[in-house]
Amino acid sequence: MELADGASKDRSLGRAGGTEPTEYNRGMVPRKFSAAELALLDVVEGARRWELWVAMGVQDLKRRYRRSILGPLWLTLSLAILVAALSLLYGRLLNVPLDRYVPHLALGFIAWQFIQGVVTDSCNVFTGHKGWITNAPWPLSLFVYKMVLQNTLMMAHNALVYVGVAILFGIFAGLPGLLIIPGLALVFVNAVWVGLLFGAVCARFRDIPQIVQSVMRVAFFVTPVIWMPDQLGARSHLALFNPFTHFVELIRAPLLGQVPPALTWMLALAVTAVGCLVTWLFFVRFRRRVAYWL
Amino acid sequence: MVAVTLEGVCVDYPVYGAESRSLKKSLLRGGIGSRVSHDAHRRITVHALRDISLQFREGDRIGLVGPNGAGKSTLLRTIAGIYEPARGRVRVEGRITSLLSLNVGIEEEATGLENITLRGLAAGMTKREIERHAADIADFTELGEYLNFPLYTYSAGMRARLAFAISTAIEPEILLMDEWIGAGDASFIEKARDRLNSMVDESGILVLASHNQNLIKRVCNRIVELEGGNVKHAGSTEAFFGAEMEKV
Repeated sequence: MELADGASKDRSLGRAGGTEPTEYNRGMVPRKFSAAELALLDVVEGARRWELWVAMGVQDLKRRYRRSILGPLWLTLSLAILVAALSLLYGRLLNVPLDRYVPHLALGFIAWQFIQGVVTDSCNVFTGHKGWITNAPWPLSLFVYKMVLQNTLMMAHNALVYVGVAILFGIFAGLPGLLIIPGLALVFVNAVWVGLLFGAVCARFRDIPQIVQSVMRVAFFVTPVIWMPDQLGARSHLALFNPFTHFVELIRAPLLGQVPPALTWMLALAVTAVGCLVTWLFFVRFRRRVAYWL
Repeated sequence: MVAVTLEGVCVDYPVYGAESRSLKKSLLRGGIGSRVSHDAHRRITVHALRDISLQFREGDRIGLVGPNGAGKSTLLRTIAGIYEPARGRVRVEGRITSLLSLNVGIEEEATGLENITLRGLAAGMTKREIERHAADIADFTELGEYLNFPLYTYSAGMRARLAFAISTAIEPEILLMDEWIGAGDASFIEKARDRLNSMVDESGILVLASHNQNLIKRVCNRIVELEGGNVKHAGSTEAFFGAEMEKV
């Protein structure tokens, strides 16, 4: 395809042109790109430059822990402390046996911290890279991939807590454990659209990050992380209205050796489809305005 | 063939800070508080570039001059493809390397060598290309031992050396530069000029925005003078500075 060919010719992805489908030259052959093609090119070109965003993401994480002895293992340690402390208190309070509660809590936190990290970081994924975006025509998706990677690296560190818990309570996920692969894939796809959409909207309207923060604070308490959904008794379906419940479940259930229910898959797929569609329409229309909004 | 063509390019810039870019304003717009306004969105708009038509060809070393706020940086960003023009067309043939800011791709806590990798990736090089050029880059910067120190120990001039060396390690076809090269000392500017000249001689284009007349005189062969978003003057360097001299 000419599109991909042109992209590899040119090292930096351009966003030049008028409001009409633009005359846009990539090195050799002049040709016209529509707004949709340019949006697609952005997403593809961003992925193609993985070496850069991997280096940026790793560098950022390193910077945060430079000169500390434990480094990013502080993440692991602080989650372990949190899980241990909450287990003793809430396990008793909610009257759930520890061998059920601790794995539920640990995996719940691992999943939740990733989800919350992605959603809140999305809000400044473009404003936080103003210097980059106004210096060269970067594919905007690049900064989103970097943000998702950073949160994934943090989740990987947190995952050590799961390993400890699994050994301690003799959990073996078995075959259902493989479902973590499609589960995580769905979660990542959602992380990308959330990053593109929230990143752009938050660049334009600076109140949105505040709103998102307060929504996420509430979301934590209505999502079954520190409590078990079956404790709602007859009202346990209430938790099902919360999309976060399902995304947490996509990560948690397989690692506990359970198969996430069909409803979870369907709702997660529905959210993915709607989210991608809305983001696509928005991105095609407003991608080139983001540099002006910063 | 390397070329940059601008045809009737206008760039309008919405200014959000002045009006506050809050959601409330947007939601309340059209409410009781709203007044009839000529701008559909009641935005404050700056016409940063007005109807600019220019053509740069192979071997051109353009000096972009003009007072603060004349539109120099906006013009560079428009050529780079960062800002989309409201009207008109920008046609670019060739690969653009933009060196508009000294601090992009610079990691304060990382060493000079680590930054060569990071900034090299940002400049579009692969890891392998960077490894191949790392020694050359280090040589060109003349920073020696300092390359093992974290960047926060660097002065602006040292940063300029590092950034310039990395960005020009792979021959750029079209190089856009803003002001900062002046942060370097005389010997660096001399070195940078040699590199720029050899680069442009080999069929490239350089667009350099600067207030430093000496730098412009030494590096550029064409001058584009902007004022208030318009091209006030465009021509050869001799003609431009000749006219200046007569005025004095």
